[in-house]
Amino acid sequence: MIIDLTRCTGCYSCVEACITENISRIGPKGEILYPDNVVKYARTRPKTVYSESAMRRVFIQCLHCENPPCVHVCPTGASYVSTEGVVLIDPEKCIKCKLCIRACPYGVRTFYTGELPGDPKHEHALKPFIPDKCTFCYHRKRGDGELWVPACVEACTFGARLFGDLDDPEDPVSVLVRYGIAIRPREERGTKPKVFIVPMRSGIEVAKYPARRRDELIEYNTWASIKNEIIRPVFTAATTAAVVLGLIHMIRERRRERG
Amino acid sequence: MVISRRDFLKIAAISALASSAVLKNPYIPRALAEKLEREGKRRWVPTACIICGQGCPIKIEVVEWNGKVYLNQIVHNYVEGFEDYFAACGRPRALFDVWDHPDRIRRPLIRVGERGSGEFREVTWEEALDYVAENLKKYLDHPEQIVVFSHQGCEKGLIKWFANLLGTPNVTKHADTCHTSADAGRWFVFGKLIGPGGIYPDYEHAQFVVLMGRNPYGGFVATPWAQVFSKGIANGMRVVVFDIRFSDVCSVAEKCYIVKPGTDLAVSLAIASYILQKRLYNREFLIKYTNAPMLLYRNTLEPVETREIGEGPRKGKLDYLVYDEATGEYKFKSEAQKPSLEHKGTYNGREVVTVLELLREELSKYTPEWASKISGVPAHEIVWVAEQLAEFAPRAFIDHGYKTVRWYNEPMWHRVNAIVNALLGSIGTRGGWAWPKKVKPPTLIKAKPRKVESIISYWKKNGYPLASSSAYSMLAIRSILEEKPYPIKAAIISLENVASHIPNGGKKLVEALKKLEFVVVIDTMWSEVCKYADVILPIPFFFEYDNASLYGASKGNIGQVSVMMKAIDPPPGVDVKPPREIIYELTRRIFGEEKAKEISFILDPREVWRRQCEKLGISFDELLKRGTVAKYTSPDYSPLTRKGVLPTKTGEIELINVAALETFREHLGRESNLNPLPVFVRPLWMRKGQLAEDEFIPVDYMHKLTAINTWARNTKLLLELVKAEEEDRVLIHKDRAARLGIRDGDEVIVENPETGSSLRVRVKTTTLIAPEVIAGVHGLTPGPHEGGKVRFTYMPKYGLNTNYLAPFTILEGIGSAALFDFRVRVRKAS
Repeated sequence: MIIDLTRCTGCYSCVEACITENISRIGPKGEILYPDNVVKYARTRPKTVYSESAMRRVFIQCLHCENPPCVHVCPTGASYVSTEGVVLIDPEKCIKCKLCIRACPYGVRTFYTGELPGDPKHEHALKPFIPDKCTFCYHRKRGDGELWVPACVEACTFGARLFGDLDDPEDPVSVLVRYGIAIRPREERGTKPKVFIVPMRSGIEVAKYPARRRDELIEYNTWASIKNEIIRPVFTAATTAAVVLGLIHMIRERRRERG
Repeated sequence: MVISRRDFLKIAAISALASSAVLKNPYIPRALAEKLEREGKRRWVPTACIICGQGCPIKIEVVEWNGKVYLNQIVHNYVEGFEDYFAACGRPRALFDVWDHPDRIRRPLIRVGERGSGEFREVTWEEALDYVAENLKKYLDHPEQIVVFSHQGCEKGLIKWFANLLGTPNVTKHADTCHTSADAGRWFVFGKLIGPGGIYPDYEHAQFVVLMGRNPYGGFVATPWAQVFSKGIANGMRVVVFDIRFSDVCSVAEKCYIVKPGTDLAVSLAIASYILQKRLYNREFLIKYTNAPMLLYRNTLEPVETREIGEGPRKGKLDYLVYDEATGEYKFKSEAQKPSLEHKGTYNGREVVTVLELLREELSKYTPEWASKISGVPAHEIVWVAEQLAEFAPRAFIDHGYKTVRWYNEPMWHRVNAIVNALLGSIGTRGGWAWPKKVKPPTLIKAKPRKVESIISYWKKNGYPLASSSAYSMLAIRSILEEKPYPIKAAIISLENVASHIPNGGKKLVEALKKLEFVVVIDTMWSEVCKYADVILPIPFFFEYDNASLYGASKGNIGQVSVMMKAIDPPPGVDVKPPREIIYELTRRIFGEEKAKEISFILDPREVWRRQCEKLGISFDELLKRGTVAKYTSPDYSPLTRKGVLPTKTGEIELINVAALETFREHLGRESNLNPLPVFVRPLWMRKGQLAEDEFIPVDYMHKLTAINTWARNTKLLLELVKAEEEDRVLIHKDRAARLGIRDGDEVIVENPETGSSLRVRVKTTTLIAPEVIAGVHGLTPGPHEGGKVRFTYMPKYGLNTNYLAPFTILEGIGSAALFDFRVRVRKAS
């Protein structure tokens, strides 16, 4: 995906489309429900970056890194990369350890813990108590091999959002990336984002693109080895122990009741 | 820890429920969406968005699923061949939020308490319509005693027709508190009042644009322009901004200058002056399309000799004497080969001078250094801007602005801006100010008002000759208060929030409305003016019914006509009637069955659309299929418009208005907006000396999500977005705040001692603002107009509303407002 900030007027259409598509739910009368402070949970949300003499609105959203720290640290494989290269979350596997939230250098993942009445609109919609982030509207994928259109891209009438195939050299997204017009925010982090931005002349969007300090982050390579060599075995052992203890407890309870 | 059996069972039951809920979780993956579409349960309804009144084509996704009907995505309606025009912005996307809004008016209401108490009882439509008809009948002998405030909404002409049928000629819009100052300023150059929609800023092809007091990026008062502006930026257009604060648009600008409030006129005068002194103007353009070579007598400033043109597009316009450089003789312009722009000489023993030369002399005192002292912008920067404008002309211009009723000197400022663009030759050119091409759907029903003097014709003769004939809401309020030219007894207020837009609305407007015998309000949601109504007739939102007229987009250049179709029914429990039914029923009750029968066709909107299509020469079937049809693909690039003539006396662009030299002669030498010669007019706040430590100038600016509609200001999702970046707070310069002991996030009281009006606002301190001002998003508080049943659930109660704080100032001769031009005192709230 490319976000062309030279065309963006900051009208928030993309943010609203994302909320409508992924966050909001349908109430009993057909009314649309969403939590308070909903912008915090939008999967693409605005943030203004400042320098001495300039300011510019950028969008905080999952950048679908080629080298995604959130996937590396996930102890259960709940965060994974789809065959198309989209970083996704499998809520069934998620144990809510929130390591992925800590690991993301861009601070994009959210964790909603409030109530969420009404019916969700699709299977990848926001769920309470599961880390949440942009899915490139994966639920819109038709399965016919064609590329789908994410809601934010559909919403932008100013032509500021492009969605395409980086593997196809003819795709406009590939072309803009190849010629260096669209660039990666915070390239130095080495995560190789697949969301690119076309910056203004001042370039503050790139220089000031919000990212966490390194000392705030989990060092994900260490964590990846800890995960595979320590956490997983411990987790398996602990789960087994918990089940066994639970059974013992149940049996004892039953006996006590009989006795 | 020991878990009891009961706890264990409880946990088991909850987890079973949770897992079954997960299993039953309804969702619409794309495959299902496509299935629903095939079954007709998911459809896209084309309509036009009227939130900012420009009619961008949109499509509303309506999903019927699981026993519910709901609005899903609302997107731009791309029409083949016209994809590049207009833009659906962030506002219509939140339409689902107003559908079942808690502040929606759900049934007809009749007042029960005192007027202004906001207390109403719900009544049936029969009772409400009978009540309105009975009351309006009282004025049929003197219908001019009824004044109609109407934005006319999307159903153009319907309310006006009804007013005229009643017999009153007094129908007004709100533009005198929006843009008529600039319209009047442009009268001096183009010979008629030209509103913002009368000019098409061709950003797309421009190379250098100066924005003064205007922000097409930040405040979407007309989204189509934001779209063209964004294209311009992508095409490499360079932008320079003069503003009282560092705004969104500064992030795409090459330079951004913070000016003292209301002093942009000084900068404009200095730019004009510099271009004239350095002769950077477009000679060919000035000779061909303007009255720059016209000779005037120096002592009386009268045109030396004129005669009427007998034929051609400029038939009936004035031909005038010029100095022909080719022959060295004085000749009429139509006969001269090379009219001189800079001639000074004697004719018939009297000293004569060209219009351009006179302008140069008159403006010579407005040097960049002079402007710098007044505005705070460095002189060399003003010189740089003037030089850049000249270098890139005619693909360079000063923007024409939108909201232009802020400062007392706006008519003069916008006149000078038009003169600068004329000097550059950037009028009617590609990349300059072009003329839009519009298509207006015809009004099918017509009625003539009674032959009585209208309020506006009275005021035009009594002090306000340049007032707009269709927008005079402040003068109408004056008529109510002063009973001039006759007493006004009743008001019909349709989709027009008078209480919010009239300056000093809390007092003047309330005083005026309380003086009336009968007030009926037609609206969708609570607006500030509802509090003062006797009857409220609720109507559906535009996406809830087939509108009784096609909609002609008003900004843009492609003459687009859209059909506005019903997407969804109002929610259960909401009993509303579309305006066409209200008008029909009132006509039947007041004028009888026969009259009603004449207009009964308006009850069938499709029949109206069909007839309008016939008159416009558009295919009705094509329109229904596509939702919108456009007629042109480019604006009118001719300096004197397609007709080849302007409504000035000479039919040309007039750098000094010939009619004004006669009509407004007494203003010569005065610090007046009506002075035929450009002069510096100080803003009112500057005339009272230095600002005290706690004195500020209040400025409000448009936000792209809340401009300009009452329900946009009270829509949950839009306000969540405004609050997300603290844009609901009011900006004050850090240093001045520190001196008053005010910190970021504090609540302060802003008070206008002159009117006694005060508001509580929440502060954000910044260095990116002129120290003289306190600035916030427009209208983010209902002020004193909330009360009784009238409420604004999501609108913050701590924003700025200059309309409420401002004194009731009406500009001399022009009849428009000066909404920011006063001082307020700021103190920390206890």
